Amino acid sequence: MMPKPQATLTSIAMRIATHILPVAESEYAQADAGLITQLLMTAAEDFERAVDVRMQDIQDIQEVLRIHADQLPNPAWLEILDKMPVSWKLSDVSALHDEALAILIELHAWAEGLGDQSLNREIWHLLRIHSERHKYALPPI
Amino acid sequence: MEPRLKPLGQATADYLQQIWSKPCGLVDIKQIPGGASRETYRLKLQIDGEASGLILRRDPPSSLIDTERHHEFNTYRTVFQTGVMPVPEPLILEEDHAALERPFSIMREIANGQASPAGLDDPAMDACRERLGRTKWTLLGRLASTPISDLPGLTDFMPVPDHPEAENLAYWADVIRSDSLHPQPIAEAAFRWLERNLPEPSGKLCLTHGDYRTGNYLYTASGEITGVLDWEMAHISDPLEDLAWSLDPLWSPQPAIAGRLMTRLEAVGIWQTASGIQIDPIRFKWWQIFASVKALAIWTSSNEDYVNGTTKEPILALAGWPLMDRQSRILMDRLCGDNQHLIAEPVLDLS
Repeated sequence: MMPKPQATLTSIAMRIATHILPVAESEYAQADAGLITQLLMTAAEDFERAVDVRMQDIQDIQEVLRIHADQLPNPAWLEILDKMPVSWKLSDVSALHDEALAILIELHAWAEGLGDQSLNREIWHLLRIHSERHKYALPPI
Repeated sequence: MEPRLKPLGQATADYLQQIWSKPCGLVDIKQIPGGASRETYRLKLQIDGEASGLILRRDPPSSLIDTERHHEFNTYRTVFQTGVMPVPEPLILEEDHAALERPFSIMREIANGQASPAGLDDPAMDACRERLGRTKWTLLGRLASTPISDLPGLTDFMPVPDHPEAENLAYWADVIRSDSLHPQPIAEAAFRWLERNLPEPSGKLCLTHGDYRTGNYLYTASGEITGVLDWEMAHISDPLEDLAWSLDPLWSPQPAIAGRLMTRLEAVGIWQTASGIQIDPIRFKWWQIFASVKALAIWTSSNEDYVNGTTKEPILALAGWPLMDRQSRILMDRLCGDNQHLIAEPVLDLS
């Protein structure tokens, strides 16, 4: 069976929104059902892409490190260049993603301290892509 | 009456009967949604034969914001006594666990008004949105211009900061660094920006609400504000802190509109008139970026609480998920020069 979690979660969310929320008797239950619907929609949006967007982030950070490898002050940052997740489970991909983000923070602080505007701009560009990649289509509360 | 709430309502009625030495009967109890920091209930009681509406705020097993209940209660009392803003009358603070299993406070209900942010978008509100915005930022301006010495007892329970910017930044940066489940490069870049651009204290201090936004005040269909709620994050700070927080793009689905009511520039103009304070744009930019960092800290903390704590309220998960995403993108708009500014302008032009 080919699972379709995004579609399934979305249809569950819609079911709650159209069948359960309208008949919830208390204001509190209605609000709860509304929040659960939004959470399920968020989970649906993330389910399909979660591994992919983290891997793209990791590759982008590896690329910046690779380009600037000669000038970087901390050789330990470069240890991530050849790393891959232990498995394709989200938890393992997320662990490597955390490692890459932690290095990115140090790299960014170093670039700012150095006054390296070019590298600084590259990192902001990377962060912009990162934040666009992870954004949710949900309207604000 | 929901059966699950009846025991709590009855226990509250029994407690009040004992405390007030008056017959006290439960008529109805409803849980109010949205209480991320405290469980909030609306009670209808017959007290000595008279109908009475009360609000019960009970500590949850864990909460979005780690706050002291007596701090919130004392703030309500001070604001109520001075009348600087409309607030519910605080009646009882009970820190003992015996009566309702957890500490709680009781306030008199403000029957007139609703808090719903979405309600502001109702076409029925079209005619009075401008009036409501005027009232909202006038009240905030008046609070900003009220000397803390005019708020009796305030400094007995609220510290007076030497450097509001530095102290606020240190506190909320620590929250993010302590509670983050993952590294946050955008937040860290914002910390560094705030540290590099830390302004000297303005010398102006006032009571700040700490969470003055859509959803934390009661409004009527005619555009009145009947009560300002949720004072648990109140503290003494620079007046620009509350203003910047109230204008954060998170509180409105329309990027150009503050708090679903009016443009930021209109709101700023009203606030300046009411407070008598002329805004320094550079200082204000600092507080705007700080506001987004503080919000990010609260969402981060809620996320940690949802994952590791005992409370599984959906609002905690939602705050820590799409809200963190949106707040991060607001910070990107504020800090990254070549961003598209789909959510926030890079800096509010006050010229």
